[in-house]
Amino acid sequence: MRDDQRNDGMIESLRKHYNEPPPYPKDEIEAGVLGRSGKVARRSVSQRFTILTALAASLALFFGGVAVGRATDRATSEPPSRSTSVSNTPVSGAASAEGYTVSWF
Amino acid sequence: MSVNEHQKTPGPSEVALLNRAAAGEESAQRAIFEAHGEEIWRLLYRMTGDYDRAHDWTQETLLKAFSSGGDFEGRGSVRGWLARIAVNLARDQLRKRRRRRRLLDRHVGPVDRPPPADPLLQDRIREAVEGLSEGQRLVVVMHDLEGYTHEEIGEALGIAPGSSRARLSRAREELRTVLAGLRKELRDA
Repeated sequence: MRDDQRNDGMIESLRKHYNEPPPYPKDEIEAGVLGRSGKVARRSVSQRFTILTALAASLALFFGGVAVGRATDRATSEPPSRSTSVSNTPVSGAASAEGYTVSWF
Repeated sequence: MSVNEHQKTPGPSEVALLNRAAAGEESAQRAIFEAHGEEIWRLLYRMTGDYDRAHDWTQETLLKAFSSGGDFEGRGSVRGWLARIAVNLARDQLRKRRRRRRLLDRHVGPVDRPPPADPLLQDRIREAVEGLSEGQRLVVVMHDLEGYTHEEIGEALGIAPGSSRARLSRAREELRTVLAGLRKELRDA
């Protein structure tokens, strides 16, 4: 018996039960392919994923940048605290080249 | 167009049609869409089992065909050439998706997927088909489910028609073995 004939029942079942396509969404596909001067009307799944990933990365960069910026601002704009000392006399063990040290502690 | 009504070799008019579509002529693009849109949709749905993907990739396949229609040299069939665009697109996208899923699993941990439902007939058949290698599965889907010829399959997958026949024979043998216990249910289904 030919392979085709031997498998008829099985092939019929496969046709019926393996990803049987639903009705063809002709109008929707037509609009995407032939509408709007041939441009895709809908974004594909992969395009949507890429856009979401890029958006998430941009947000992460933005908020990361804001956090770093704030930390830098705090560090540079805070007035010297009481413990800050400016001295033109060398401090033992911490002398600078100019002969004075600035300590923020 | 039914799955079995298709041209084996393109006439000069079909090659000219592809050239006109590539040049942006809307009536030529519409003619290709009317003749082949549904079979591309069916093939992609059979491959993915996913409505949105099949929908998006059918559009992408046709747009790609319109933009590269001038590359078709008329050696094989238009149907096989379109199937090649669709299959390559689906394979690339599915590969990327698998990579992303692996990456997610590594960083977030495996996604909790529901356990398979009762061993319903449909699940058993799906399991059996998905147990085949990708090459065998594609041949079964294209030949047995969607009526492509071995010549068209060869063109779409870049293999000889003889290899397509051999793959199909091995795939059927495997399916027959895996589904042996379901013979009665298959007959009643």
